[in-house]
Amino acid sequence: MAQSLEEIKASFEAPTHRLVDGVQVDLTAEEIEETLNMWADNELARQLDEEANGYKTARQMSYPQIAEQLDKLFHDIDGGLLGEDAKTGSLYLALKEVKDNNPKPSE
Amino acid sequence: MSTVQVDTINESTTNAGVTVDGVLIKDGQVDGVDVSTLSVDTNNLVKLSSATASNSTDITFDNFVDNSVYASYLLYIENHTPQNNANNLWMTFRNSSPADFTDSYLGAYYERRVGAGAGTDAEGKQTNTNYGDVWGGQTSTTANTLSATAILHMPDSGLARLHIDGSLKNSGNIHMWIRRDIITNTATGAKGIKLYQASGNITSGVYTIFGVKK
Repeated sequence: MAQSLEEIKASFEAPTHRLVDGVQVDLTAEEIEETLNMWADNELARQLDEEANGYKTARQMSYPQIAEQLDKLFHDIDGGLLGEDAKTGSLYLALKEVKDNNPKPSE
Repeated sequence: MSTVQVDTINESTTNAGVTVDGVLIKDGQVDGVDVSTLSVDTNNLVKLSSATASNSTDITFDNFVDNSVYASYLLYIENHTPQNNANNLWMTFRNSSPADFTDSYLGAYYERRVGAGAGTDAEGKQTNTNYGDVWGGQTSTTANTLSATAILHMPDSGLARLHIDGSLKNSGNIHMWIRRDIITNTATGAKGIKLYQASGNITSGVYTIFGVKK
């Protein structure tokens, strides 16, 4: 659950300076407050987005590579799990042709 | 006018080298530059500015653009480390005032992921208001810093573009090779650039701007 804006803001150390053309420029009290508010707003938005959409990233990070997914599908078809007719489909036939043309050394 | 015509000129004083019209030639170097390493590329790169972050809110380079001299610009980012974990590195182009460009920033990216649990690679696109999203989800661990090179095209009357290529480890300890391209939607004539985190300081990093001479 996302933190409150106040909690987030309190978690930040107050910023002190910027670097402009390599030179340190100290922040005014007003700029420090503006920066803390901006950081808090952005972090709250990040937390809310993570709550709503984090599963998408988690899934994306966990799915096998596309080639591996297709290989699993091929073997499911080859094993008859999708019915014998699936072995006449263009996906199966295309992958089967590649495999037949490049057999494993043990085959 | 007379001419000195000899095969070899040696230094007279040990380790002093030979000076010709104020230019010191010594131990394979000309005025301290090892000329054997020079190439067309290095000759055409001119260092314009640099900065070293130390818990800094942003890294800003203002008014470095001179398109009468330079065709484009390079931004080297070495070991960029954010203060806060898993938040994004953002950028804005700057005008001559100098102030941030307020515009839509259009971004496209490709990420190649390596490591246990890396999962599938990712690609995507996004539009952000008043900033470009350079990098997301970088860990604050100093061992997993971001290093990258960005090509900047900032024409006087055209859209500003940043094309960055680099690598890091993200907050999930996954090695990521990322390419991103960011372009302004309508704003033209950028003169500078600002890098900053969505939240928190930039703990450390070295940032250098070069001009690529025409």
